[in-house]
Amino acid sequence: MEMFLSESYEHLESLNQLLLQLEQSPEEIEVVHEMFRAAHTLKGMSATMGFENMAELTHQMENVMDMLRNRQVAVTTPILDTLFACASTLEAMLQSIEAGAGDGMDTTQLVAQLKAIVSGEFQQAAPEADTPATEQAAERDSDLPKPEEAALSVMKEAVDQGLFAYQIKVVLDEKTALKSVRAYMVFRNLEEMGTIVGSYPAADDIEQEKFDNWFMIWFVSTSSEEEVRVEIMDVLDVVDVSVQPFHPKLENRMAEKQVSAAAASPQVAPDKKEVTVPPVQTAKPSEAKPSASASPPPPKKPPMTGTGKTTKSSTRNQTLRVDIGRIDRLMNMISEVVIDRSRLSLISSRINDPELTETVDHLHRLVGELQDIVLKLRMVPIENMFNRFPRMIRDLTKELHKQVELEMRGWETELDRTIMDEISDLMVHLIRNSLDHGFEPPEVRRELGKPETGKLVIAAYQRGNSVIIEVSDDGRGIDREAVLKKAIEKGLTTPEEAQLLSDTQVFQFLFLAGFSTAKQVSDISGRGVGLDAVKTKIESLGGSVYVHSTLGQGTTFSIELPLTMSIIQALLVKVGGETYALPLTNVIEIAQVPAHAVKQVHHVEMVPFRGDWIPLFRLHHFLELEVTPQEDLVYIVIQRENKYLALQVDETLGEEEIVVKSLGNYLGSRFGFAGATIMGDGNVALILDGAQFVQV
Amino acid sequence: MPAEEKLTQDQQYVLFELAGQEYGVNVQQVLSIERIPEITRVPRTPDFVVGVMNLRGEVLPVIDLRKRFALESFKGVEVQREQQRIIVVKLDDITVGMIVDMVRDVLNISSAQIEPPPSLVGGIQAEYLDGMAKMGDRVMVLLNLEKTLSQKEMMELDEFRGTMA
Repeated sequence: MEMFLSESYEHLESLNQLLLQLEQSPEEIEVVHEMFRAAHTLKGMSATMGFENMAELTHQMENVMDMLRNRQVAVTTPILDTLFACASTLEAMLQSIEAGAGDGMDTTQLVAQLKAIVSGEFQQAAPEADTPATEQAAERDSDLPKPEEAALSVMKEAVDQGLFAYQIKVVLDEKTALKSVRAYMVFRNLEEMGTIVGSYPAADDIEQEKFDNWFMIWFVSTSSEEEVRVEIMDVLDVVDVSVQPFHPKLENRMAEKQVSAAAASPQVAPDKKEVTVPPVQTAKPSEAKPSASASPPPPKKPPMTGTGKTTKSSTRNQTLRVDIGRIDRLMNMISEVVIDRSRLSLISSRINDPELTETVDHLHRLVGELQDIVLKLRMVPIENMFNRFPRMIRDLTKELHKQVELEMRGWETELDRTIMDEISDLMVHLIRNSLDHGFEPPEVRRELGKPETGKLVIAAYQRGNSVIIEVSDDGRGIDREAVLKKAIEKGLTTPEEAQLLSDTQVFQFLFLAGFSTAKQVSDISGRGVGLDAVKTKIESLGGSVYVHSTLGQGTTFSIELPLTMSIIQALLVKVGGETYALPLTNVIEIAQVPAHAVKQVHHVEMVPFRGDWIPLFRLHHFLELEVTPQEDLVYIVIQRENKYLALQVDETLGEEEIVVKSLGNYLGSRFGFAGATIMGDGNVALILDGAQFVQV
Repeated sequence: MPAEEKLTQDQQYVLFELAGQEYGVNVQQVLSIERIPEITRVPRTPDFVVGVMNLRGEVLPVIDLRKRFALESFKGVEVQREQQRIIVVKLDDITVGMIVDMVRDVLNISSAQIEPPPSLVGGIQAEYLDGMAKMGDRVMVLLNLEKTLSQKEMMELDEFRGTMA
């Protein structure tokens, strides 16, 4: 099932991308060929798994695509919209299956539309084509045995095409040992001469022998009653078969759901084209080999591991599909090995045995390399997340009546997998925010002299030990005064203080809960996932978020995230006799000046740095420790955005790679601290988050 | 879990001593009992938070129950360092180590033996207590962990200290 889901999602993603491509260049028939293949595979897989609703939908999609690629139907927007809607429905189905709720959704409308396209009756102006296909109601028939609506419509279609539809009841010998095997043989025989459109019970259940000694099949074929009967009786242990012509007209459940007019009755024979009803593909599970499979969309970097078994075509790289849980366990073990490595170093230096020292050094290097490799295992290119965006933005811009061009940069930038999973949703939120509030409608933009089509740039790049992700728009920008006004109203600041705040500081108010300055909470971005949730989430991952904006010109949201979550490079320092760890991420320099070199500027202590003066932060005070007067002042210069700060320490103890551990739920997150780490000597040292001290 | 539910049947309790008085914690909430190792101070926390310690690779916060209930000034038995222990308890998603004077034993206490505590026992107010059990002339007070580890209180104390930046 895992395999089915992950591969289905992949094919679906592929399908979405292809649809987008096709939209841009409708002449590219090659794209349709690929789409057809994707739909075909999806059909096969879903049929094998017994998801008949899904199989039916993809089957119909296949038909439409077939016509498209044979140029029997032109690529038009309504058709594309229908296919997009199908893709959305398929996604919803997969999610439902994943949640254990099966694929029972109402697809009659879409199926009918697809068939209408095939039969040439599709109304080109069909606003209902964008059916929100996320109905979760399971539409499985409750009063069986009758075929499902999907099967019904297929049979109806077939009959209209001149094929025969049968309702077959097969009775097996009560003493049959392997009922499912017999059933399988019946199915197989039938498939050689027609198409099975439905069964009772469902294929899954039959496979698991959840039936007494009889089952029903709805079947479509060019063969005669007698021929069908003979085929089935041929199977061992079948004691009785009844094959009856099935008249779909007798059932009228179709009338319940009203669809676009074209679906009513496809009496008009299409252009002499036969509806080919290909046998249900039984894509054997062995096609997707358990331990190796192809990688997602055209990879832009070399394979992750050298030894991958190649399956599919040569255009895909060699990769290995690995369960995340295993990698996590591996990571945990490596973390522990890293700690022990530090302890060994300590012990070996105490014992001072040359052979021991040499071995420990070697081990040190080995573990370091191991760590590197394992860390890289967890890194995934951000393109996995980027892939979602084009489709989403397309849908949103339509809904909001905005025109936006999307540019994405830095596809190959890598991010820790867990972090990417966590920020995926908030990226979506920021994008929606931009589209909803940032971009002006085309008319307004025209009036303002801006290009009607706005530009949304999503860029990702690595900087030092962090990954930066920016979402920029050339829309309205943020009105500093409006934000300040609201902040003052809420008592968060005073007019006097406001004068001293930089733009970036002012914009930080936006991240406070309940601060929305949107005139009305729109459906899209006002879902209670406010900017405050975004900020909290990012900070919980050890990152930070900033906003830059120019009124009238645009806004940029900038997210900074640590490269990996758990192991970081840190500088160990001693403050007031206690040891603390300072992540190297923000550390620029370690400096030392005579104590008297500290200057006082407007009640702020400052120290020299690269020809300039920067504020001094007395860590001792923050940590509630006594400052022992010393001749020299040692300080660590840290940087956040474009601001610098000097943190005073007693001494530095060297660089160390540390495993970041949380302080736990009892203490929660404490200002100024990023967690704790277990040192080589087994003691805990707190990790200072220098960046938090910098006033931005 | 309301106090009533806990006391409806025979339950096992870990019994410990604090400033001369015997207390009990439901064994289902106890993860382990440890000796006191090196504890790293966490600045800017209420003073009953001693700090954090390394518990087999995990970072465990440690509180001093004496300080938590302001019993230091209580004129009573002196603390014997070698006998002090940390009782590691888990409540929902909070794991904490509590320093106690001495761990006595684990005992079965039936609900019949439990009665509501008076308003003040051994210097601790009734709201932190689940009840009192008497066995012979042994009086054991059952601790209410939810209240003892209440984060709301911690937050209030935090604000009072002006830790919020």
